[in-house]
Amino acid sequence: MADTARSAPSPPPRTAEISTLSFALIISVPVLIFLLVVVAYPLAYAFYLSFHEIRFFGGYSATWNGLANYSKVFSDQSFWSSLGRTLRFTVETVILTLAVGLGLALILKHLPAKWRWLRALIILPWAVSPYGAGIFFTYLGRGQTGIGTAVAGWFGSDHTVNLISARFVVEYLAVGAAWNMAPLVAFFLLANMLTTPARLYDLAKIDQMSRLETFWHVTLPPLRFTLFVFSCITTVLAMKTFDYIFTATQGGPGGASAVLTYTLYKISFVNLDLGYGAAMSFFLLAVILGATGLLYLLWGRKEERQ
Amino acid sequence: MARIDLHNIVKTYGSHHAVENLDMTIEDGELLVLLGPSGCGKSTTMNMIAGLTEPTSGKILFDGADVTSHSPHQRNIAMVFQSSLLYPHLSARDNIYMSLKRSGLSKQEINARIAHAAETVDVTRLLDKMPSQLSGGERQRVATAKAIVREPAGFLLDEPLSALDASLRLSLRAELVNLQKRIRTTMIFVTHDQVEAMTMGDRIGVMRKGRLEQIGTPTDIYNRPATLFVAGFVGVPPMNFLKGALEKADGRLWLTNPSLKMEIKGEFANAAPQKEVILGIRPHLMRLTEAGASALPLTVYAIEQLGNEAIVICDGPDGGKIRVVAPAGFTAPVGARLDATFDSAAARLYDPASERVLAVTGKA
Repeated sequence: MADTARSAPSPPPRTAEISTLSFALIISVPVLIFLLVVVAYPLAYAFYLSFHEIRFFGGYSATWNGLANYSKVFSDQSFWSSLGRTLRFTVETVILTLAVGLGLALILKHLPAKWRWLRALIILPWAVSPYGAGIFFTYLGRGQTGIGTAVAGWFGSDHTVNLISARFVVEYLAVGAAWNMAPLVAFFLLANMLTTPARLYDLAKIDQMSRLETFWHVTLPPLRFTLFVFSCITTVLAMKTFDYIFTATQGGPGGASAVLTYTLYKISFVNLDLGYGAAMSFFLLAVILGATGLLYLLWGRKEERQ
Repeated sequence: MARIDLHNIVKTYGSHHAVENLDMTIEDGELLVLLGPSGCGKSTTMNMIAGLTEPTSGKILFDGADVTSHSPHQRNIAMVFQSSLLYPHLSARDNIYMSLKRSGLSKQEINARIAHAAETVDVTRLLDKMPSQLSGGERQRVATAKAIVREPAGFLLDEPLSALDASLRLSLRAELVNLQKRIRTTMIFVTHDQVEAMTMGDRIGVMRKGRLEQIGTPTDIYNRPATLFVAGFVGVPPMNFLKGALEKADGRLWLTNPSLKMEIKGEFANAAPQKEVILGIRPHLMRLTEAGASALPLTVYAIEQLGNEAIVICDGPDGGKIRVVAPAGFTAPVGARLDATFDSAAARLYDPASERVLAVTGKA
């Protein structure tokens, strides 16, 4: 090609084609720079703060105090109780989200043709912002306005039933978080389910599989990787949830739903103890990385090999 | 092994008639091929024999016993599906094992049967592989092992070879026929490929629009197609059709059209005269000849060289394409005039209205 081009009397002008690598760089470098500014800079700054004591009274000052912030976290009772609530909320949310998502997907798959449009409608709860979902679930859970009182009323009781009680508020919030997220899970699982050839169910019938065996051997295998991915996504989302809990319960009643993010918010932005808050936030980061890493080790690696 | 009878089977989906009034018998140990274009009802028929679909009305008998309402497992059938479906997350061995899981056989017996089935179709060394690690042909063999391990009364195959490439299809075709003759199982094979049907079947049932057009041996179907559809569907290159009128003159029967006048001899010599008929003649039974009253004037459209022979595709006098088989290497320029003739005793006559072969009274 090059030879013919050289020997041609007047080679036609050609615009140079860029290589795949240059094209990839051109479109990704701005994004990388943007990420660097909005993620790496605050992260580095938080890291810097976590080794200092920050004061605002009498003028801003940052005093180096080494690992003092970090060691203080270990002896802080509110950190451990908040972490406990975060883990409880996360485990419940993940299990509920996946279970409800799977259930929804199964229902949506078997909808008769004239009800298929419901498949599009079901995504709506996911379109509600966590902020909105928080407000929604406050009204739904409260004694005066809530669904608990309403249901009790149907059975002729005039008690007010408050679902946002200190004892079960975390469970109640997990239900709301699952309500918010499960439709998306259902959507992806449904898409997965529709790739399974219908004839595989006929094969299961010929092999006289029970309903449970059919679910296990035919329906579930193509979903397992999606379920793993969503268990990771939901774990991260649940651990970093703030806005939803902030609008739903503000950590209450009496701190019963003060998860780690809420406690962090109070330390850093109410008490303005920025150095200590920054140090504690790195513990949250470690918990998130640890949890997803554990999920990958225990489950993800197995799915990957198949 | 079983003889399978279908009695007046009807299957409707709403207002759509998938299968209409189907009567058919598949003999014990026979390989019957159900042939037809997609949507002709052949897969529905197979599903009803398998017990996956319940007929709207009619009866299915296995060895004389009514199994119409029995589940697939109670009928003891085995099935191989299109693209040789296997459970994707189970190894070849576990896939085969699933066929026997509910059989109540002892572990030893099951292992022996799996080993024997695997050996029969030569997949012993593949038993511990996953379906995704197998080639198309290997999957097909494993699916076959999964089917025969049950020692089924009926072995149903729904276009198992259609997703494979041509050369593999060719060798697996022979393998399946060989297997069927060795284990002597009643086998029903569904396909839309008429070459597959011709080469595999003891008998072929040709279906169209939910009806059985004709059932018979491959030779029968090829030489004596009962309907225009069967005539056009079976055979490569396809049968040629000529329009004309049947007229009696001098005590003899003549096919006439503007470019041809030919005496009808043989089987149809005693057919009743009628204004419109369609004559069907296989390309192999035509030959190029000198121009004449009983020769068909043709214009060359294209020539296909097959090595052992050449197929001359021509525009016929009534607008349709006429194919004539010529000796290998035959050439003629496109647009050239040719004449072709044939022995009318080898031709078939069809009624264009009913699309069925003309009735003949007595032998000629």
